[in-house]
Amino acid sequence: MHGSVDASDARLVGQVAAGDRQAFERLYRGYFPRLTRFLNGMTRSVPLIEEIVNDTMLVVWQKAHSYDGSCKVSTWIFAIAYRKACKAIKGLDDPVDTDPDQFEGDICFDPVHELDQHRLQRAIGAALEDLPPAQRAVVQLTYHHDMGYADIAAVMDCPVNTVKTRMFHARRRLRKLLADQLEEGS
Amino acid sequence: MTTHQYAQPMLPWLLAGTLDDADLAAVEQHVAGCAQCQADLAWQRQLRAASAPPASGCDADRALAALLPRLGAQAPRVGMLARWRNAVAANDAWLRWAAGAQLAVIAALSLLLLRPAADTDYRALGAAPPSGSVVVTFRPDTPEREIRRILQANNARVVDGPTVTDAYVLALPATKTAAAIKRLRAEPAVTLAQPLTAGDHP
Ligand SMILES: [Zn+2]
Repeated sequence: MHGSVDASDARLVGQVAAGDRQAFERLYRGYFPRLTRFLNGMTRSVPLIEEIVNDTMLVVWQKAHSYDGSCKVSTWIFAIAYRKACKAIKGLDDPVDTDPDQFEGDICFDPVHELDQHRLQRAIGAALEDLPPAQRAVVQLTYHHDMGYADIAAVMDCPVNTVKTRMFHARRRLRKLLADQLEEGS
Repeated sequence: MTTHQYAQPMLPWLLAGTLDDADLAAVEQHVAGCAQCQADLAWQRQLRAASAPPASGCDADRALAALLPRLGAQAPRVGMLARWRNAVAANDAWLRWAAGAQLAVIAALSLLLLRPAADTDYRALGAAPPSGSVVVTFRPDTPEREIRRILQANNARVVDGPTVTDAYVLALPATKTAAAIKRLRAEPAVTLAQPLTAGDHP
């Protein structure tokens, strides 16, 4: 869906493979906001986020020549970022093996009925942080990075069904955590 | 498998607009007749709208400045001349980009182009810069048209830059390089003008 963007991304990666620092800077600046937004959902530490972005882009610099165009540039870069993030925040649970109900009752929101938008966002932020990182990543990539489930499977290097399962568990968990904050559709 | 069981897990990507055509048609058709999926979509719409991650306070300039020294040691082995040819080929694109780029000269310039070690570095890469090449940096607040005026006054052509430190590599008429450097250094907007040519260092 971002055809032209991805074509110019691919051209930049080609230039980076030839050692073009300007192309690298453009790619870096182009991806910085997207990667920090993604990583901000994975970890709230600014220095850690910048470090993960840099570890990611260092791999892009070193491995640009190995990018073969078989997936989108964004998929390739997010996959590197996801692996770096998992490494950085260690102890990543595999949500497929995680019983989502084991967290039952960990968090209890006050039943406030007239939350303003800011408080709602905080509540949702807290609920998202309560998810295992892999589920959080799926939610973010789906809702805020416009990735289809196949792209996400490529980013997370897992089967498509695992992506759907993670999203399913995440939705179920969020629905419980946010029962007081979000109206049930009718 | 019922249609509901097929469509239900797809709803997040229906909402995000990233289903492929085949999925989209099937899921939309189901949702049109399923109150439960419609309610679920409405709920997810609220969730999605309110769950955008907040700004993190990360700073691209700061982070990039921390990364660049790490690139140097591990740069792909490509000669400067090849890079300059690329830069000239991509001239239009980067000029448009440079016009919008923030002009902020950072003291870390030495990391990129002027450190004697770096100089040795690119000779080791096998390509001596062409004669008449000069690295120039401008004051951060210099308007673009002033930069253009200075370049034109000296018959200078930009062949590379700006780097992250806003250094430009200029090509000057080879026989008049020394005089041009003098003139450049006399410009109030120029913070640095340094020849790149081998053996031409002051
Ligand atoms: Zn349904």
